[in-house]
Amino acid sequence: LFWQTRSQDMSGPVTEDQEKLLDEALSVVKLQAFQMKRCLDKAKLMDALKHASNMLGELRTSLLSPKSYYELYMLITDEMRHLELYLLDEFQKGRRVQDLYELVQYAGNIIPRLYLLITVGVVYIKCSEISRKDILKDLVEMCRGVQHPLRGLFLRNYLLQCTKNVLPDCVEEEQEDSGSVSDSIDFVLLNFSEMNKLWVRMQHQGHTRERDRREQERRELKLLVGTNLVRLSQLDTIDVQRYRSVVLPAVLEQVVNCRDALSQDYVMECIIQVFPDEYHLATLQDFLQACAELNPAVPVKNILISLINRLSAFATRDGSNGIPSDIPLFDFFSEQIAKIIENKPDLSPEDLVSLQAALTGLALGVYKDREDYVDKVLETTNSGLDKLGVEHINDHSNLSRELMKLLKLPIDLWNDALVLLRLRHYSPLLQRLDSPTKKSVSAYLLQNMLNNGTLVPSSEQVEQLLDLVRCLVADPGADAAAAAADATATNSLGGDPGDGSANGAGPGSEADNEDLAEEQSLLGRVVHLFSTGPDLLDEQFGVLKTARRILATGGGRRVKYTLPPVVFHSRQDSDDKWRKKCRKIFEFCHSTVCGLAKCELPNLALRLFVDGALVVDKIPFDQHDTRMTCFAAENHEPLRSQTVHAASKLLRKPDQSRAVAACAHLFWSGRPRELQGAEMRDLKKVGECLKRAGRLASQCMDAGLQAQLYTELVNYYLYFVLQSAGQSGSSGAACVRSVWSVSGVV
Amino acid sequence: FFSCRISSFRSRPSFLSSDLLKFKPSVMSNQQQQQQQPSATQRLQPKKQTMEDAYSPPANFLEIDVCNPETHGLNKDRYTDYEIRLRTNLPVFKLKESSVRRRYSDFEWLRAELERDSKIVVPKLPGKALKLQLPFRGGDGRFDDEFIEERRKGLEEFINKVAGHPLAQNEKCLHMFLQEQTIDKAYVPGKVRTT
Repeated sequence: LFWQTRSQDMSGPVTEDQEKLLDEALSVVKLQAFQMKRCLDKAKLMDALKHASNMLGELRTSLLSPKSYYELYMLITDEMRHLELYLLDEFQKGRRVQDLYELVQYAGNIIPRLYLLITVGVVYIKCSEISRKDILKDLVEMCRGVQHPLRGLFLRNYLLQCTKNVLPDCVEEEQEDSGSVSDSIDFVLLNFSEMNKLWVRMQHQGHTRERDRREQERRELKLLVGTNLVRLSQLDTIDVQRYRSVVLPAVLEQVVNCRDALSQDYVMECIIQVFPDEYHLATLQDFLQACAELNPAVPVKNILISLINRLSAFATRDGSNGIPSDIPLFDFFSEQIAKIIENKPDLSPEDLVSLQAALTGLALGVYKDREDYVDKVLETTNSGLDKLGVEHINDHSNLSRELMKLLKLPIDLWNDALVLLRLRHYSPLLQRLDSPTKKSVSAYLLQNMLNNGTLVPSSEQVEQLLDLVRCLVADPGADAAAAAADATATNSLGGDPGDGSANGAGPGSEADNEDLAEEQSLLGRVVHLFSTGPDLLDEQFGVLKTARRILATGGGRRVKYTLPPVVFHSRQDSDDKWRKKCRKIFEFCHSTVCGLAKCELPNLALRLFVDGALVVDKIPFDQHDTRMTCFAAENHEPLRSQTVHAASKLLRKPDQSRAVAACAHLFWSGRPRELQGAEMRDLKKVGECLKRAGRLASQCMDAGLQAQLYTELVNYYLYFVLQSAGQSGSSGAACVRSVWSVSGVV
Repeated sequence: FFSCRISSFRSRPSFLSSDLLKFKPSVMSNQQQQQQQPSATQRLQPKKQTMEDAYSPPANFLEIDVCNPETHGLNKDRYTDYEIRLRTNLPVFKLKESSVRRRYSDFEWLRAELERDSKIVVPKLPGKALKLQLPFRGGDGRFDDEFIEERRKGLEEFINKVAGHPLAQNEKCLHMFLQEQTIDKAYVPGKVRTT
């Protein structure tokens, strides 16, 4: 009655009715299919065709949603197989039905007509009845008769499925009119462009308020369109040349001209996934050119990243020849990405970063030794972020996440932190992050170094590394204070009172402290990697000095983790060979430990002093080497007294007592040069120590503890008395007397 | 299936160029092919569709919503009117988007004009609700929400059908009804000139 304007095509399927409608349709189909098969059994072809036509008539509906229509379609096409098989059988037995192709065109409605035509046409092809080329051409053209998007898409899908195995796949025609791969390509390309057209048109059907639902429905149907590309990829005779000159240009023409974001996005991704990587390498410029012409709403970055990742994987896969050297892959993508950034002023920073990350992945995967590529990408990222006016990067933002991913890539793929130090733009990019993320990345780097045993062989590199991870080394602002006091390194530990973090002045939550402990212990372990190798102890010392200087800026809380490794590390090097250096090294340790002591970490200091004493002990002094200065004599004493001093400073009286008593051994078994290898046995000092220990013990509150301490002291005294048996002297007697007095107390 | 003969086929729109294709079972020699006369059932070669035509939004978009009923005035002089919101890309409409308010009597006026001047069979309007206007009826009568909603639906159906018809689109009264803020009942009836 009336001209059908679009809005009247109110095919808005109400979900509650869908089930009912579908069930009704399915039962009609089942009934008609049953009748059809019965007629075929009785060889009554005309009647069977009538039932088939009725069955196919259910596909004429406008009331079903794509999902329901699909279900109906599946059932019907299943049943159509029976008809096809029957006809094939008849034909092969020589019982050709006269003019069947013409006959089915008498069907009254176009949907049944075309479905039947396709079925019969395929039978004809399989039986080599008529020109394969002509039939295929006719079928794909005839499908134009259905312009309704949903029905048209499914009809053409039926065409594609039925002709799956009969498309000619040879370069030259084998027989007259049997067709070559060119004909197949034309067939599929025409089917694809028609289907894309219908698919794009779907969005305009129905009321504007249903737009989102329609878009969702379109997404559900995307596979129907993609199947065309899959079919093309299955034609073996298509080679790179043909792909490049015929297939891809035609597909890209449709993609670019349809101007529909959903279609463009899907089809471009499809192309990447469906065709081999060698083809992509050969057509990179054309493809990238098309990317630049897409609808602005298409997330081109996803497409690019997809492609880059695929090609990276291709190049690095085992057994692949890699990227042909005449394809400057990195440059291509670099340019393309730059173009995209230029054309899209509203590109978000995180998108920018994720693009650069993909490019970095490419550089690291395919061009592993081109550090300059990676540096270039980092430089571009930096300037890109500058241009976008990015100043503060919030910790939990997408941008932060993307940037972190980017920065971790070189760490993971090179496994060599030293290379990172050579990249001029890595640090600036890292420093943009917010503190927690920055620390996380720095820790990641350090962990990587530990996992790979990456040694840092020079002072300069140590400096660079510690500068890179400066967020872990010190709080911002501590640098200035530390730098000023640099010259007199030893006493600058602990920072200024003004630096709140020093000396653990700030409260700091439990979690904070745990985190700090973890970070710093990581840093501490890395110190052990500051190694120049066994023959370069000179350098080694320099390296450690640098390390100490920088780490000292960290303030009290950090130093307790980071400096001990410095000390231990330097001790490890005091090998037999370089005695001259030993003195310096020990001085160095000494001052370091003093610094620690200043930081109110007497526990630690004590341990280190004692440790130091042990090391000194172990070095067999070569008395014949007159050049060697008497390190032991001069420095051991201060070492000893400092130890005692530190011991007495321990927090708890019992600990103090025990520690001082232990120090007695220092005075006993130290072997200074004068005595020529004999033990010092400074009884006086020993006695002093023990007396002091006794005094300390008496100051203990807890009687039981006191008793314990005194018992221990008695043991000490007994030991020394026994040891000193044979040694005369008043001190010996004094010792014995002390023993009795102590035991008396006990 | 076979009860219809060739001659009883419905005529198809011209873009559907395909027709019966007769395949001869035996391979024809070149000579025979050349001698064949073009038959009435020959396939036609379609013109290649341009990208523009293929992918542009179809130029038949017309959407009219009748919504936002509001009752104005007090007591006896109350009346309800509706918003008529139009969106289109048809060239015949001057404004691609418009919004006006109309009441039931305006629709009656439009229907009368179209019946007189245009050649179409004008669809019926939803009921006049005379029964509801009788005194001593309970409820809100014609200002009842349910009634208004039913009427709204009917009016929407009516206006969409009418506005979609090319012959109605030719009438000035339709355009005035749809796209001018007030209806000038003293207008000069006539056809819209298409440029």
